[in-house]
Amino acid sequence: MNELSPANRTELDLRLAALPLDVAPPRDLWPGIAASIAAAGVRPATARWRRPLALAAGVAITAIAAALGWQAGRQSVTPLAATPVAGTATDRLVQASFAMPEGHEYRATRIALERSYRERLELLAPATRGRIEEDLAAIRQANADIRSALAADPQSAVLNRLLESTWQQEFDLYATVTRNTDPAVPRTRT
Amino acid sequence: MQAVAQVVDFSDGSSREHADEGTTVRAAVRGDRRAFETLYRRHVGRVHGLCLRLTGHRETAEDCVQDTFVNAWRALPAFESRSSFPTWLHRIAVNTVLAGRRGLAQKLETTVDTDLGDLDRRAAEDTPALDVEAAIASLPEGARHVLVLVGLYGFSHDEAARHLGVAVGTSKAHLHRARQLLAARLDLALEAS
Repeated sequence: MNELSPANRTELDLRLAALPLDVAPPRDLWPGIAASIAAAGVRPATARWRRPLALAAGVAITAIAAALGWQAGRQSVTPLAATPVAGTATDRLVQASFAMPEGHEYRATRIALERSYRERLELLAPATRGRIEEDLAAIRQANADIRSALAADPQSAVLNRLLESTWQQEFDLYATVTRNTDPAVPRTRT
Repeated sequence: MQAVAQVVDFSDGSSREHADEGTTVRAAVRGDRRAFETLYRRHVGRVHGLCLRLTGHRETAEDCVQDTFVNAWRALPAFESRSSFPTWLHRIAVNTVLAGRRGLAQKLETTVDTDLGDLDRRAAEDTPALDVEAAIASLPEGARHVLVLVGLYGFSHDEAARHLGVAVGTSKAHLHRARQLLAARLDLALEAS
């Protein structure tokens, strides 16, 4: 195999280093850019990958509220907003493990929570169950979209935070459904 | 090279330039088009250089520059002020070039001879560095992309591999091949190892 001699390697490096990194375009391209921006109208307030997440969050609130409303009517369940978050072992584990989603503790917590969620979901009416499942799908889609965006920009702090927030939303959904369908927990009508 | 003189290199550690850049970027994030035009004037040379060398085609490079700044404008709300704006912009430029390369492949195939001829003419009447430009433009696409990203514009192999959708090892192999080909085309002798 042929290789560059040290002298020629240095010569090649010098020639590459001598290239200017900035090369002015032969004409001013700003008018075309300005026209495109104007034609596109006002810039979206949020980037494309944020929309699914916002949607997921909105749907999550709606679905959980609907589930709790259903429960309130049938089982005298207190709505979520009026339910203090219990400092249970599960809650603490969720919070503690959240920062390490690839870790064993996260996976174990997620499996346990999802199993409990699935069992409790069966207690809900089909319509309510469907809405919550749609919500979970939206959160997971948001997670996939953000992962996709991170592939192109892995250092993005905002994307990483948003990715974390999807895990948190998924956990919150599991925990909320589980907590508020627990027959052992006494409920009071507000 | 008028625009080159307008470009401010923010890697030189000037805190005042950093502050100016930050102020301008924040204004653009708020939707100030004049601020965004300032950013365009400041960075278009680097973005165009990147697009031109990645595509090896002048008209395509101009399209990529325009698309890069339009995409950047749309994506500005997601920009993190703690990040480097030029680095963020260059990533958008690379993504824009690579997103369009499939559709442009045929066009590039049919025009590469013309562009190389153009570069050769510029080499004859301008600086010696254009010999290197012509040699870079003549490299196979994969080798050229890695050489431009890693060898010229300071991307890491990890970043280049992610952009190009190849393994890090493949990126390194492309760079090695690019340097070998470049040396041969610049009449820098190779020796048996």
